[in-house]
Amino acid sequence: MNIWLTLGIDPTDDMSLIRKTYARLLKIHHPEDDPAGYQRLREAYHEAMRWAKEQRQPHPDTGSSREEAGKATGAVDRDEGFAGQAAGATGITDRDKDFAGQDAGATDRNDGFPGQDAGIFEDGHDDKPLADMSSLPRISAWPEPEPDTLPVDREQRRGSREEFMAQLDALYQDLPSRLNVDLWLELLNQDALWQMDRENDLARNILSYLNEHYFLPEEVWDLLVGTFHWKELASEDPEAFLGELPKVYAYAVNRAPEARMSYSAVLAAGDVPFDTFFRYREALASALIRQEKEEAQQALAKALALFEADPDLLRLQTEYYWQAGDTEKSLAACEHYIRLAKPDNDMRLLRVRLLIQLERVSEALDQLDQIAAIAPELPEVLSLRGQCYRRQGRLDAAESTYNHLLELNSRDVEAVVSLAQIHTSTRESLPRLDPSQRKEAKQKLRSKLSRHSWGTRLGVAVHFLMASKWLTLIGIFLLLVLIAGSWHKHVGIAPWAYASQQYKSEAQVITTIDELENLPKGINAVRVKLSKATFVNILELNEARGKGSGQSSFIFNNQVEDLSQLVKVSGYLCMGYLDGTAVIFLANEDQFNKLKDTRTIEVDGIVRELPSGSFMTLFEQRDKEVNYLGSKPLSNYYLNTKYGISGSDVLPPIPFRIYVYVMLLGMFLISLNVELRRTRRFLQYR
Amino acid sequence: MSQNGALRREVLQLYVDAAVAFIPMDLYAEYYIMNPEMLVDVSRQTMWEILNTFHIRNEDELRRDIAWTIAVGRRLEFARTCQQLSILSEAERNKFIEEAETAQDKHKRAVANYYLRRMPAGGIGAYDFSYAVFKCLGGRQLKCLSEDEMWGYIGSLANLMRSSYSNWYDYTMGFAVGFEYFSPEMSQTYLSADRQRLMRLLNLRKSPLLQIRL
Repeated sequence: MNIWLTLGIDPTDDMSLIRKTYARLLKIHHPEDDPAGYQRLREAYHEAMRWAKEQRQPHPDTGSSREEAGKATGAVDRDEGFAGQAAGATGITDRDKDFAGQDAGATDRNDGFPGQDAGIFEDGHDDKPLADMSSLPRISAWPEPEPDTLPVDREQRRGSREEFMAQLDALYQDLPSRLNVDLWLELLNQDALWQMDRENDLARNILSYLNEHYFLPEEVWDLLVGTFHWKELASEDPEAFLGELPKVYAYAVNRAPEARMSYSAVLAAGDVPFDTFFRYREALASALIRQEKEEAQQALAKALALFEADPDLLRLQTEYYWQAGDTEKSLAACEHYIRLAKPDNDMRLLRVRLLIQLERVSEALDQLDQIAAIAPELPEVLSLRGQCYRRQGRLDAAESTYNHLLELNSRDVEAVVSLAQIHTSTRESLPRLDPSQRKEAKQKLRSKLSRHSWGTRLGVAVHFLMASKWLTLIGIFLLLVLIAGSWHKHVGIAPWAYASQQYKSEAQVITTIDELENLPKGINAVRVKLSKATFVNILELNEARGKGSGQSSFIFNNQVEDLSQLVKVSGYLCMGYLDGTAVIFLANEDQFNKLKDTRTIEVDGIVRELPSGSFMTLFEQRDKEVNYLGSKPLSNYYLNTKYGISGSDVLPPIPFRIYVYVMLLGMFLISLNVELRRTRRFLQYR
Repeated sequence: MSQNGALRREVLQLYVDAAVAFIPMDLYAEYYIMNPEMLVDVSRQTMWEILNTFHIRNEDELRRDIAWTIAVGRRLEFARTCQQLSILSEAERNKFIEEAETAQDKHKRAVANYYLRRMPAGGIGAYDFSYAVFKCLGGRQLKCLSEDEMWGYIGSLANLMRSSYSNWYDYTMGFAVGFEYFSPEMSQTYLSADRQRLMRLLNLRKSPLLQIRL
């Protein structure tokens, strides 16, 4: 910003000229009409004055007399700007005196205002008197006045200061004047205020005064703050400022809600101690914010006793009864306000809200119609209308209203929750509907609740399954592959066939050799009656005596050498005839003993294909010698009848590792099942 | 634990499930609503990272935070803002909002102003209570809180929930407004893109809100 352009003059160190220019331009850039221009002007003025002062600083290479003469001249110029000040001839002397005064400056400031008249504050005003200098705020960031050589007499300055403060007080004490910003502008534009060397002292006095006398309209506070830059001062040390000047802080720097009341209505009150009234009103506002009911009640009563027709007070009264839950009184205060003041939508809508609470819904709707005629899209209008419709049972109209509200503001929570309540009412009324209506209503409700599609929900379920159990799923897959591979390699038959053989309880009755040799797949437990059955003198030996465990071998009966071999005999190879065909069977001891008494035997056993080696080698050898078969054919199948139809000993053993795999598989499946239960719960969310 | 204690915890568990149902957002929210234990089924590091977003860095801070939430909570700030606005005229309220020092304060004042007379009696207490319950679960998962401690806090929170709100609709409003007040960036999704989820939460038969009354 070019300050000289703003002021409309050439750069000059003539402070008087700068001041006069500023005063002239103030009439053009009024703070109320042109706040931006006013601000620019003030900043330019300050900068210009500071620059001018710097230009008048003593130069090291000039003679002091010339300097002082020059300054004396300047002092004369400055003195012209001040009313009642001595002419420049005494400027030097005065400045010297000034320096002496500077040294005693603290003492000076500690004096009370000379001429201060406590009587100014009598007759009904309970305002406190002007503070003496000793109680002035000592804000740490406040710049100290510079102890430079000042041409203005110290006594003259003090006199000017006192005169200014008296004017300030007079302006404040007269309420109509207090509310007139032009008068404040005039006061602040006085030359006394523009002594830069003493501006800080005067500003301190003003701050202290206004901390006690703070019921000023916003425009006046803005003017004061703009003049003295109190916001900047406060920002340097907000805590100190707040601590020392709480009211100035609340009313000027950081405008608290309590400070946002108006004052002009009280002018109509006549002879009312208005500052007392303002204090009660302020106390009421503060108590309402802190929710101190008793304090609020007392302040309200006192304020009403002084003046009942203040709109701000009526609004606070409405709020007080609203907070207290006294709807009737709140409504009465609200209606009083509306009759008295130029009501805004806010109070009208509050009245509607109070009417709804009192179940005067029709009245509320009428009021809403009037407001909606001017402001149909106000969210609160729609919200209250929706409430009215709900109370009247007009759910469709309510739903439509809330949907409209959501179109205006998709984040309106009340609309969302109210629609949810309407859906609940609809859902609860479904049983009372006719079946045909019920179905349609259900479908409508489902579409309003907008559940995600099955596909989406499945996708979410799969996402969580994969995300949390991917390792488990891989483990399950690998274990299944291992189990299948190991089973196929070591067992060789399908698991279900193995199980059926393991636990089969019924044998198929075979009567012909064809039936024996053409058994259906998976069935190999049979009951057969064999004729001409005989022991073929071949013994089965087993290393372990348990069923189905250990290695088996076969020897001729006459090759048994000692008792230790006899103990190991686990089977007796025999042969019988079925349908004219020889059938070998491996018998147990009981069956072997029975054959000593009879040649016909009925046996239960497991059918197997004849092995190529094993006992067949011995049988063929023996048959050559003894000719068991004669000309009879030999079946391709033999029977293991040692354990009847429980074929566990002839079934291949399941390797231990398969048991381990199955146990691990079980653990993984349990883990997976936890997630599957969660998935089921999620999919059942309806 | 006595039978009464076990029964009480069963009932409190229903409050827990309902309270944390408001926290998850977006497409996977309903999975967490029906499986609330999954909300804290994360690694220790992740859980601490989540708690760090609440400025909780250790066990002591966790306990202090929960205790403060029970006693005071962030609901006080909202209530205070509403009380400040309630004494002003409409024009002054608008000025008060505009003159906020930071954008965040301005947003908060605007939200409080928008819902000024529409809030339930409990204010935004629901926002405090739901997140406090979540922190209790997190604390137990991290073994910062014992079972008894956790259930003690939850018992207090359940009492607060019941005394502050008379139904889940009001609770929902309290939570959602609190969410918008303190988390303006995320509330766009929560309230506008995902509002059907809130409606389902308040209506579907299997919803945790319908398993226990306030």
